[in-house]
Amino acid sequence: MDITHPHNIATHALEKTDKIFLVSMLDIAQKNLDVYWVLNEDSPHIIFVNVDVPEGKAYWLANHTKNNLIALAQYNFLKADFFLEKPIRVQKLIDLLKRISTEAPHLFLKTEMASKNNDVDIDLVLDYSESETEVFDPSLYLTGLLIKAVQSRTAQRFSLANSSSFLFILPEQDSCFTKNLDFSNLTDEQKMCYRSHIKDIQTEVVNANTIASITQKQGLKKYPIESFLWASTLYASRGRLLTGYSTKSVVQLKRWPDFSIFAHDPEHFRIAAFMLKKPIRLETIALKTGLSIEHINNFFNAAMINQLIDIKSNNENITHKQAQKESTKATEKQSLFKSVLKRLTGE
Amino acid sequence: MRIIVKEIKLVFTGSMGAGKTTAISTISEIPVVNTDVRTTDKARLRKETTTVALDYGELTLDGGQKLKLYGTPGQQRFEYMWPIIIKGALGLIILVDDAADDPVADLAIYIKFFKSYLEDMPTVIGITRTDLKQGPGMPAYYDYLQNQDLQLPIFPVDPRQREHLIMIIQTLAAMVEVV
Repeated sequence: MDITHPHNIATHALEKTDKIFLVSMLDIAQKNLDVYWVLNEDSPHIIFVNVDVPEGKAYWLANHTKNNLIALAQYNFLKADFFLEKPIRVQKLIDLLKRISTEAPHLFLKTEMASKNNDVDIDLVLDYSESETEVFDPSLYLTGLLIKAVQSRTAQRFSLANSSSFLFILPEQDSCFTKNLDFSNLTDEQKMCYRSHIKDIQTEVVNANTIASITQKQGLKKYPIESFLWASTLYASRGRLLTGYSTKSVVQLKRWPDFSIFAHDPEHFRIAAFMLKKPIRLETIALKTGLSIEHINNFFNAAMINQLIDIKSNNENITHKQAQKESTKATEKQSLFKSVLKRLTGE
Repeated sequence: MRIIVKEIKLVFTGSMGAGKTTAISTISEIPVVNTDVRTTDKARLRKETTTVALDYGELTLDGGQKLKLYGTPGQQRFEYMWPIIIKGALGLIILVDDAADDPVADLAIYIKFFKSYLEDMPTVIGITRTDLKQGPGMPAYYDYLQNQDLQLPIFPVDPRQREHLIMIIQTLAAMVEVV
């Protein structure tokens, strides 16, 4: 065992007893592992997050796309790829660490991991001068502000880019409040608002009573926070993928997105159908649906931020040639459904 | 030459009180033809009337074709009728009442019964009355489907809302491409 290059573990939101358990179990587990694991909060390769507490859950929500988080909880309600059950048991810890070493070797190639302190990340970002990059960084948009509000449990008002649009977030109720929205038909102005860069969003800390009073006075509607994480990510992505993913990434939806609370266009149903059925590459979905890869990427990011996606190993078993052939099939059923929808929507 | 026009139909199935009759009423252009009778067993505690044969509604498509909307009787003792109704359907909509005594078990009944159709027929599961917050909530249904290794669209719906029915049809239309 090479103890000169240990794999570093950090923790987030762990209760004292859990941390003591982890340290002692790690000590016992060590003799059964090929790699030397050590608790090192400064430059972690992996982070155990206690998702049973709100702080840990918020941290998970903000950072799970970095793929170096291990959910620690009584049961795996977040469907995390890497999960450790509480109370911690030695054999399960050994199995988990072995799995991480073999299934996520890329985590240990990096010399510097992203900071585990997300507050610092976002604060740094506030001084960021916008430049369009190849990848989508959610912390630069409304998504980042929402996540930060959830993490800090702070009720806030966001006034959005050069418009009269505003949004209240009340983390203690897991809710946002704004004017009535039709998620199946957002206006261009609304879409522009949700794609706003943080430098164009004014934030104001408010208290819950103020929100309640304004909500009543102005007839605002209550929505889940997820609705705006989705909308902001969907429209701000502009075809760019989240860091760490490519159009060759093989993905699968964990479940069907609830489009009654998620902004969508008709094509999102088609993307969801392909993503739900079986593991599939993002580029294959584009090929099969005939939609642009940017459209697919935007949907993927929004679903990823809302923890609706499983990343699979790269074993998609369909060739592009097959996909192309299938995409040209116009079935009788499809045209019948189109006819039904035309009749129901009057379009 | 005689042209045989195949019947075009959507089938709504699911537990008693889940909203099948309401869903059909919401999109049918004719008053729903049904055979509701007063409930006489313990189900009466939850519902005054129930469908004993089937519900029927219609929607006229371009070219005058009729989309037929069928609702199966909710009570399990009428399940012998379900295969007759489902045969040749364009899609299947399973509705489950979240506020029922054991809605996950209700879903299991319909999944088990229609399992052989799920591979080839676009199917959507709508969970109704989630607003009452009396049921197990969506994660229980996600877990059930995952345990069954089924990748089916499932989401909360209000059968009284036309937009929700449109969303169901949009989902079925999308599933056609992948079944």
